Amino acid sequence: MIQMLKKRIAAVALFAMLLPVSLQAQENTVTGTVVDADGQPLVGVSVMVKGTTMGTIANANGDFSINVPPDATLVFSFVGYSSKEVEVAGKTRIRVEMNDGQYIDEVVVIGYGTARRRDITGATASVSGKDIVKIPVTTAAQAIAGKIAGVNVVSQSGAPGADINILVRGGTSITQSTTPLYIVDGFQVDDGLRNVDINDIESIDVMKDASATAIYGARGSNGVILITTKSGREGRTQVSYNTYYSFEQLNRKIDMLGIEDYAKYQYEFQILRGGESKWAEVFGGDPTNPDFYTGAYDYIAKEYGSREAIDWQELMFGGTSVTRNHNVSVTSGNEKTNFLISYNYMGQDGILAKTGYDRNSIRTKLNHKLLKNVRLETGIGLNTTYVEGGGSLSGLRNTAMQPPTGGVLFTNEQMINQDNYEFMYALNGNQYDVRNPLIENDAVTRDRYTRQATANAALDVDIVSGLTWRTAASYLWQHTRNDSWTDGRAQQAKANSGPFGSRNNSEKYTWQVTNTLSYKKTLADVHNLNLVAGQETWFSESMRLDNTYKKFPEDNFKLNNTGMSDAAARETGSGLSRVGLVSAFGRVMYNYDDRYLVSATLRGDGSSKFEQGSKWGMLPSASAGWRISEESFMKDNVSFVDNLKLRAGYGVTGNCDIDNNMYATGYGGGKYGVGAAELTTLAPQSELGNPNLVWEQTTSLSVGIDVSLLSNRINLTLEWYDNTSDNLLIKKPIAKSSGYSTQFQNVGSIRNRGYEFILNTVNVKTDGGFVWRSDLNMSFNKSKILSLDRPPYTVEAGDGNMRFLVQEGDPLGQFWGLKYAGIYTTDDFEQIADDIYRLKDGVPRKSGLTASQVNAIKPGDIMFECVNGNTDENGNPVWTDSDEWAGGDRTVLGSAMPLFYGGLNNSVMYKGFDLSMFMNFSYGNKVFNMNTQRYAGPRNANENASAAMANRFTLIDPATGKETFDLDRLATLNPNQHDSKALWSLHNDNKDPGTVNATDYNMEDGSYLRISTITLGYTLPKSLMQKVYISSLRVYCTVNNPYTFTRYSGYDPDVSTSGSILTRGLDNSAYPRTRSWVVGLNLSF
Amino acid sequence: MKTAKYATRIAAAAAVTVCAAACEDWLDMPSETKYDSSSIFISPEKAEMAVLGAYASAYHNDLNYRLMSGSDECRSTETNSKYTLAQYEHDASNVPDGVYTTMYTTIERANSCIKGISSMDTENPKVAQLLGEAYAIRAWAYFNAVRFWGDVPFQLLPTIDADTYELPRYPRDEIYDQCVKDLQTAVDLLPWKDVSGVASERFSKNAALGILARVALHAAGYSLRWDLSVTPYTGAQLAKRPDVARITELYTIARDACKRVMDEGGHELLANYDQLYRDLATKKYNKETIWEFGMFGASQTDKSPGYTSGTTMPANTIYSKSGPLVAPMPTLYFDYDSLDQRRDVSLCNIPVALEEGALVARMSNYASVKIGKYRVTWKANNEYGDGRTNINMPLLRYSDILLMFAEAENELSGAPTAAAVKAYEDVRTRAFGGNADLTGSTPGDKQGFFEALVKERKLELCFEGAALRRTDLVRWGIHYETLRAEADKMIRLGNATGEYANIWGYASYKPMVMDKLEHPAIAIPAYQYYRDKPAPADSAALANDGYAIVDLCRGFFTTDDKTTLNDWVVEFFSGVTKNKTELMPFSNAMMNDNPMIRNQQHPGY
Repeated sequence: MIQMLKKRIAAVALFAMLLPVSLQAQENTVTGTVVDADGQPLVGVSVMVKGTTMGTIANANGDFSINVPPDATLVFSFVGYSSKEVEVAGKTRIRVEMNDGQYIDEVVVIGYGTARRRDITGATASVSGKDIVKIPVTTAAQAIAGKIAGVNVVSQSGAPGADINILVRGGTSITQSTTPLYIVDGFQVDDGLRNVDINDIESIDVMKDASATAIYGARGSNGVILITTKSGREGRTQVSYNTYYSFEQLNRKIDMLGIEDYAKYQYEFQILRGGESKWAEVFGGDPTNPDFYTGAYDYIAKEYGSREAIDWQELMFGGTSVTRNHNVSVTSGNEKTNFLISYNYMGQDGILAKTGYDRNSIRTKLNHKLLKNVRLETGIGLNTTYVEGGGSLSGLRNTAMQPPTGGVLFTNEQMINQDNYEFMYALNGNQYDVRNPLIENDAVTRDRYTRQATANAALDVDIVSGLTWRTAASYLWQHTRNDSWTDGRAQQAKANSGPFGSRNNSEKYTWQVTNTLSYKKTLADVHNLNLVAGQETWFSESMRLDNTYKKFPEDNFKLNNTGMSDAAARETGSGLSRVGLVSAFGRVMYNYDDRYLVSATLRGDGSSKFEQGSKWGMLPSASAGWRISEESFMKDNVSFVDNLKLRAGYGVTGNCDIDNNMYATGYGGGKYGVGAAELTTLAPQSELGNPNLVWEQTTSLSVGIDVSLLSNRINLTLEWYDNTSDNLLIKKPIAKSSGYSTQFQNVGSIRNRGYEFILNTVNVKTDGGFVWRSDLNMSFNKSKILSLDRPPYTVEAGDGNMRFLVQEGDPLGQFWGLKYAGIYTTDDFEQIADDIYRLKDGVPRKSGLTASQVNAIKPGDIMFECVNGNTDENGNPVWTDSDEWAGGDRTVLGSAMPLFYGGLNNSVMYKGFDLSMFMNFSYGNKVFNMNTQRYAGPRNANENASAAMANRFTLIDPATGKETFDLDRLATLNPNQHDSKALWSLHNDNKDPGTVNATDYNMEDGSYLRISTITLGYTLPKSLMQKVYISSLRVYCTVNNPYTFTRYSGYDPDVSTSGSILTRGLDNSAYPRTRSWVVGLNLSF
Repeated sequence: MKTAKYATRIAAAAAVTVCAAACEDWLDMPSETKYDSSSIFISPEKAEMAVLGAYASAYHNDLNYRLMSGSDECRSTETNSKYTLAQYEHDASNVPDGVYTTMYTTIERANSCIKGISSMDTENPKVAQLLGEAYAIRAWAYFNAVRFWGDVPFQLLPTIDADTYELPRYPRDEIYDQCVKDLQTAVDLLPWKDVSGVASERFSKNAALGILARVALHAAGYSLRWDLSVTPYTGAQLAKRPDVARITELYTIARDACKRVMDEGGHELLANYDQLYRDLATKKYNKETIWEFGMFGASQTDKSPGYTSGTTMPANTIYSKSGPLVAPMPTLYFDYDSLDQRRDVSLCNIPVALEEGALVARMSNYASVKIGKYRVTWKANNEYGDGRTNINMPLLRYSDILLMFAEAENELSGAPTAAAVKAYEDVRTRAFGGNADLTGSTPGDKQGFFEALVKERKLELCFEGAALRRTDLVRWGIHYETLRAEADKMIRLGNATGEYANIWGYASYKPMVMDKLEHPAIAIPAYQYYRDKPAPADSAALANDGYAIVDLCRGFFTTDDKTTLNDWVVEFFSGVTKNKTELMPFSNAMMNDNPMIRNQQHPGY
């Protein structure tokens, strides 16, 4: 009763307050429309008359109508947008455009709290879910590629579900992980950008410098990526449905020899090895007939010139595959309770058979106000993922190097449908190594199933105004099953006495509890305080059980009946690991009158990875900013500057991403055979424990400037940073006489320095609703190993076909090997007799050759640069295939790290249409094309080679069909022999230098400018849709990866088959990236 | 509201205080899957597992592969860096260091065991035996490091207790003396093999005595020496240790050790030489076996002797695959008397290939003869598939004891004593099936007897004992001379001149189908030998009768017309150098990882 009375009194009072206004002035009715920067109507904007409590709300079309005095000022405000004041000045119709305040008023997540972007002093960058969902890609990692300055996203291959390397500002470690920390809704999650569905993402905030990440202290040194998922909203029930279908095709093919060139290549290959009868067996002809030789090239042209070649790449990757994506979400709520339920299905088939990615996920969020000052948040998520085919593809080499013809032996059908490997193997004297890729691919199955459940809850209590206590907890359970099956047709099965397979199960659970107390207060209008203090505990345990079953009989039920495998040949393994982290932290943010901003954090972390007494690390940071634009001298005099902020930060973060229990020397089990039994042994493992290990620390200094001009039409950010990591946790090889091979030590330091440049502009904006925006970001990073505490060394990658240098004073990612110096030309030899030539004195040669080996050198053989200037005992320059510091000639061949990289997005909107083109680029990096290296000859007979090999140095005289030893004739046959990139002959001496050794011949410029996506969308008019109760409908189509400007000859320059920061830029049989056509729609009602 | 605020504050303060104390304990999460040294030496059972762990690393593949080639018994069949190594053309960049690494792993494991077990109840015979094994294993590991690298880092403490693990070279004589001491300790602690039934894969008193003799003979013999006090090193010279009295002492130790084994009576020579290796292949043990390295089991991933140093056998057969990478020196075949039973056992002339689905053995030419002691055709099963032949490496046999005894006696007495002659002749007589009439005369002078022993050790023990021949030649001071002579012999063999002028050029034989395990065949006998190629008509007639013809010398030449000898025939030991190649250089990896030895490279490299 009393309640009701109070309400009535309040209503009367309000009426009384409004009354004088309406009496005092004559009122006009003002109508208008509120639109956003893209010209789209904004629904629900509150429109108030300044200085009063009078107001209204814009309707579903963004229209409003209000009675006001003619001299009134209207204040438009809306969550997430900067407020705007408009003077009525007698007008009766007003069109108001509200800026979404993306650059200054946007609220960003900063770790254990939020802040307005304008109050931030650290280096952070954000991408909103709205932008992400417009791009049809499978993971958020792909969606942010090229969009955030300082964040380098490179996928390891184009395969569905392939791993993605993400590097924030160059990474901070040499041998340890450079993966950033992922925090999803406040909780640490592995591989967050791939595990959270794109449609569920509200925003992604990337913290790049220590002043921003220090609140995550010990784990923040590789950057922190905060993902906030969508929550339910107050208001009427809203259902959204997003879908797309994507059709993918191979982007480009690798050029291999055509059928006639292939036959000639094989002819030359065999003639040089005395194998003409083997050639004839495959390609026809009779070597006992003298005409066989002289007529060989004519015969080849006649017999093979017009044959249809088997396009193995087309057979393997030529199809069109389909990706399907559906997302449905329902959200609703009232002032006490809101919820969201979201379901997503994604099915992606690879262009290669038996590769694919399949994911189902469901997520709910339920928030409820228990009391006026107590809020409960809950969230539950389930998802299952199925990756077929694993990640990288070994079959690419098999595909490219398959013979394009079976000669006179096999028809194309036989080549395609049967594996002629055994025959070729026998024919070539056990020298054949490409299996039929269609059969091999069909015979090997690799599946990964992941199931994951998460639950989290948080309780927020407002203790007094501005002071909030929050307790949040989460639990994650994840199960992964890796199945691998190799049936009897595969080569390995034959070597393993029958079909075999493995089923490896791993299970993991993680929990986290976070308690924070935060305080936000503005005192005397100018002192703005934002404080937080908290404590966190995190624990994770994972276990695995691996089982391998071998020697199945040919017919069986695969892994579903492992009882049929050979019991004695089973292999098993298991493990368990635990890791815990306890932290306490606090942060003070203070700003005076929005002009002077300071922020300081301190975090202490204790990790189970270190020995008692070394567990704790204290990691402080501080930063400051000055918003010059808020100073009166700017505000009053320079009207076109909306925001000008200088900021600087300094901080220390840590890294403990090493294996568990490295402080102790572990004794592991093994076996020793005694009698007819294997006895279990216990022995120290190869790693020596180090009780003195402590946290790796990164000290970061960052300076930035943010500028917004011309009503936020131009936004510019420039940043410089210097991250120096000390006490690097390095697994260091130690003296072998210790009995151990490695020990984790805190040695070495590395620095990453760079610039970032972000420019967002609105180029054109008309009242007619035409808007053109551009967003450009560029990053420049340089790494340097400041100290290493060991002599320079190299890291092998790609089966040893390439090496990378690790040396004090040098950057990371330098390719290391011999420098190609062209081929021996006929000028390097002297004719001794009609059929004998000899290498001239003074011509470089490989060191350590015997006299007979020197005499075997032919024109067209590969030469390498004698970098070290060594000579042999006769004074001839020599090269040695060993490292420079060991007196050899291996040297730096180039860098896998780009000088700069970035992205450029252009979007145009007009009357419901939206068109955007996103491009990303990388400049100055080299890629080692291991594929072309492998596909160059000479390797084995009856294997195809790259098309370039048609331009090889030939030793065969087509007129005679035999090898010529006449230097003049060779010179005539090989007019291009002096080219610096001339291709070598099929002489067997070129096999290793040409196709196996680490050299720069296959080093290519990896710079590229990729048109990554072009999207055209159309949002149907609201007025029309309202009639069918649809609040918004957008249809779109996208082309992904339509074109890449690059000189790179492989499938794609944006590739790195290795996850290690030391061995980037290697294209080793990567699954080719596709071009895809996408149609989709976004619907909500 | 105020209460709530205070409550919160108190809770926060309490949380922080409690955490500081409790968190440290909570964060203590020892490994759930691995022991550490504190949790092992608490029971004899766990300690035994640790000792077995020390055995497990006490051998490396190179000992029957890369380090076994490059002697007068064994060569590399590869054409890469392994070939270079066998020719002594190696340097720090390509020298293998696997033996060095595994031996130091073993030393660390043995050091940990010695320390751990010493703290247990050593009155317990089982514990005492384990301690004895640990001492013997440490000595074995140091012995292997020293005989290939000379002065090497030396440490008797577990690394975790030592001040540093970066150690410089240490004088080899002192290391050898420590090995002798360790083995003597082991002999005291270990039981006799036949008394307590010690398995052949573990140290018994007998095995420790035999290895003691072997170490003492190495310690008394020649090695490549230089002044350790001046770096960079110069002036390497092959020499014996300077203290002559100690040399005599070492010979005495060797002789007495052998004598103890002989007197104990638990061992004897088997009647048939091939039985030794048939037993090896079928996991049977006999009275001649003293010590072997265990290579049995599903977890044995090393390519054991049966693979790398076996005969030729394709994959996926009833036998396990064998892909030999080392082979006998072709001259070795001719070093044997034709009636010596050991020849066709040690050298296998029956490589097996798949021919139309059947496994067929064909007689090989001289160049393609393979090592026969570890042949897979003598196995009883193919239990673990192609990668694992399960054939143990024989490290010590009774015949070695006899020959070491004879050698030590000869050195100490200045002439072959009756006991020495008997020991030598026992070994030789067995080789001729017990027929002493065939063995020839035994030299009666010291030098002559010594030379007979040098040859006999090769004929009897080739490919055994972990690359023993190579360091035997060094300790006798004849490494360079023997290899140079061997290279010259190879050229004469290739050209069929000198002592090889009358070797057979061709042979006819009947190919043999290999269709059962534990195959009885030792060799394919020739049906007939020929100097020159049989006439086509004769060949056709032979073929009609199921005989095939092999061109025995073809493998030495580049082409069928046999005009040019292969490089490998004329290039033998091209890099062998007196006062240099008797020891191996440190590898770059070894020096990179250990700053203390970076300036301590072998002076010849």
